[in-house]
Amino acid sequence: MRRRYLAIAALTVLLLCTSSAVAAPGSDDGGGQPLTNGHAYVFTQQQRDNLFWWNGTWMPQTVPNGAHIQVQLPSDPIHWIPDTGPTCQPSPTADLVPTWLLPLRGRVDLYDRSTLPNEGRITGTSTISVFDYHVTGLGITTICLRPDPPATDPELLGFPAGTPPFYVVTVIVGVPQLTVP
Amino acid sequence: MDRRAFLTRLTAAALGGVLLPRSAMAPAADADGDRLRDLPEVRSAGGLLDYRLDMAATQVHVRDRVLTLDTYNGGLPGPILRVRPGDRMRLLLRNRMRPMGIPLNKLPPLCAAHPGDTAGTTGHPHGTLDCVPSAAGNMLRGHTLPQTMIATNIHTHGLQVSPEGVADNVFVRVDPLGSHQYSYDIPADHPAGMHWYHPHFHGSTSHQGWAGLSGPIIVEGDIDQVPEIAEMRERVLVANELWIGDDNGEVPTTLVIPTGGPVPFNGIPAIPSSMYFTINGQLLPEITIRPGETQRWRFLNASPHRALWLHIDEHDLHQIGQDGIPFATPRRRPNLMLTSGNRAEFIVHGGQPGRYRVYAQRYDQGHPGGPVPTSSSPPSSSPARQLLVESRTSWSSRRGCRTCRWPAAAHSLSPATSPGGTASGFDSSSTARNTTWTASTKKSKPARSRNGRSSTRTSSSTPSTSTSTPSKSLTCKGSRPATPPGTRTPRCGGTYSGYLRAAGSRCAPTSGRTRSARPSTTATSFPTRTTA
Repeated sequence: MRRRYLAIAALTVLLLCTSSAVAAPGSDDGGGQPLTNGHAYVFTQQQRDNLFWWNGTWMPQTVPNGAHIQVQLPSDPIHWIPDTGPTCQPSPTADLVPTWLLPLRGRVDLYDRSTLPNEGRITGTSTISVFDYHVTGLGITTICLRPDPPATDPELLGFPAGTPPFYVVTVIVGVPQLTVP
Repeated sequence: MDRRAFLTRLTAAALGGVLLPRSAMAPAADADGDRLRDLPEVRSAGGLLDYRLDMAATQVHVRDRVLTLDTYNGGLPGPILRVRPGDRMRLLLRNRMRPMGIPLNKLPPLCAAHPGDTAGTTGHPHGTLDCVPSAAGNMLRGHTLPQTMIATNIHTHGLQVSPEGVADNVFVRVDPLGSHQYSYDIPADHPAGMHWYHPHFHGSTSHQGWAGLSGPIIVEGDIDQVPEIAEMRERVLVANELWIGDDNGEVPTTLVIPTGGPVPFNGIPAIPSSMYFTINGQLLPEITIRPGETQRWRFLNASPHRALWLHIDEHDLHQIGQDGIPFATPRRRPNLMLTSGNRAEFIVHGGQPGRYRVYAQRYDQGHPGGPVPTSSSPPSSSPARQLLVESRTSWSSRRGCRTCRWPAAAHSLSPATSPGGTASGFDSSSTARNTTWTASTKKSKPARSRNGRSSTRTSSSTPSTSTSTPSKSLTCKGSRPATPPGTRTPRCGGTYSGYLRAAGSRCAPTSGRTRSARPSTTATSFPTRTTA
């Protein structure tokens, strides 16, 4: 019985301390800064394989091993279904599939999905579907998402005119990121 | 290291030495949590302000990061330029920027059209080689993205000056290692207020704005002679929105596209990035004021994208100007909405000892193509109150302070309004030109002007042509330590106690209506730094 009282007392003290710490005036919450997207490489419908205005001269971008890739697509009423099957392949560039250049394949894992409000911003849609992936290894990796229900007009998906009515983005995984010194 | 690598690095170092003379030498901005710093300033003399602005990369400390940003004269933001109506302002702009923030994780599409084009207008190349002449031509013309991002000019945002020739001509292009001599004739009837300068080369304006390239221009005039205002401690606050690549601490040189989530932009190629909102180059600075003290704040939102819904916990803002136009009478605001480029001038009256947040309340401002922001709209459905910008205002007590009491009905500041003008002093240039501030000829005791020098002031301001009721004056009492000529000091300067105390003495009004500052529920004690 005595131990139980001690445990209750300890728990009570812990809860009181916790709540007072949270409510302490002047506590520094960092002001919500900086605004960050969790060190994600963010891709949207404007950032995918071979957009029409790249005129076939695109190249997949590189990301490091273990990178967080986030895909954001306009949705509602359209829903997006991750496609991990054999139909998910890199788009050709200069009439070549990048896997010819780099036969290795990286690994991609979907680990989270969520939605963001987006009412009234992209015609025909009301939310943004967010898919979070981890990519690991070394080599080509492709992320594919298919609309449900399927559509033939990309503009019904909130996509730019002239783009395919589904989503494909290819990245090369395992390359350290460099910038101009 | 092989010979090729050595020569490559040697060449890069040599180029960097030419193009980036300040990168390793520039002073760092203050760390966050420090007292708000005053920006350096230059002012006209004899009717002329002749000044040079060098744009070059500078290392800036923001919180625990070292950022490499292009700045004016090594400062984030740039120095304050003070002029008077009728002055001539000459600015020599020298571009010493170099390419930065270029992600090498993807080659640019060699033959890309403009993303705004449609599929039908771009056509398709018959082969990759078809694209080479186009790409080479863009490079020769300086139209590639990295070249565009370091081309620049200056826009004197808000100044009512010529938009042509060597004046406020936003079609001027100044490439790296180039320079341009600007000359602006400030009209003799230019309204007094806050404006600002920033790059406005079409194609790189936002990119350079995300580096914090901005600086205030203050036209001093009649409103500044109103004793109640001249007496106040003036603070110039510049809010910047820095978009920073996570890996290199530089503004991304990418094709920018909007995204969802906390960071509303990303690029092609995609890179992890963050956004910082700084005040005078500092994160979460502390702003000090004394109980009962009134301070004049000139606030500039230099964010390229973000509108700021400005609040101070438990304090109203008494606005006296907007976008460089003085108001006829102060307007009491619970908060202020400042979209990109907006300036607001307002008076803050220190309340009870305590610690209060100065912040931009989160709301849904939409995105390109989204809803127009409005201050009357409720916050977004996401967490009720999140902070985009926060600094802290601390009230302190000390002895010997000099206190200016706010007038009973806040009507002592009266403009002279000529026919055709309005008392609002807002909305249009013509209105602004018609609104002037005058002071009565009633002499009072000598007092210090803003820069600390003694001058003869008037005790009240009255309209010269309007028929409004003669104003009530602000009253001041107390003593102020002697200040060397030319030294800029707070209106109630002095030393602070080591800790704030809720029961400490305050700069109390001498009579009349007491301001409605509510007792702080967050009164606490925390260490403060000594004042200058």
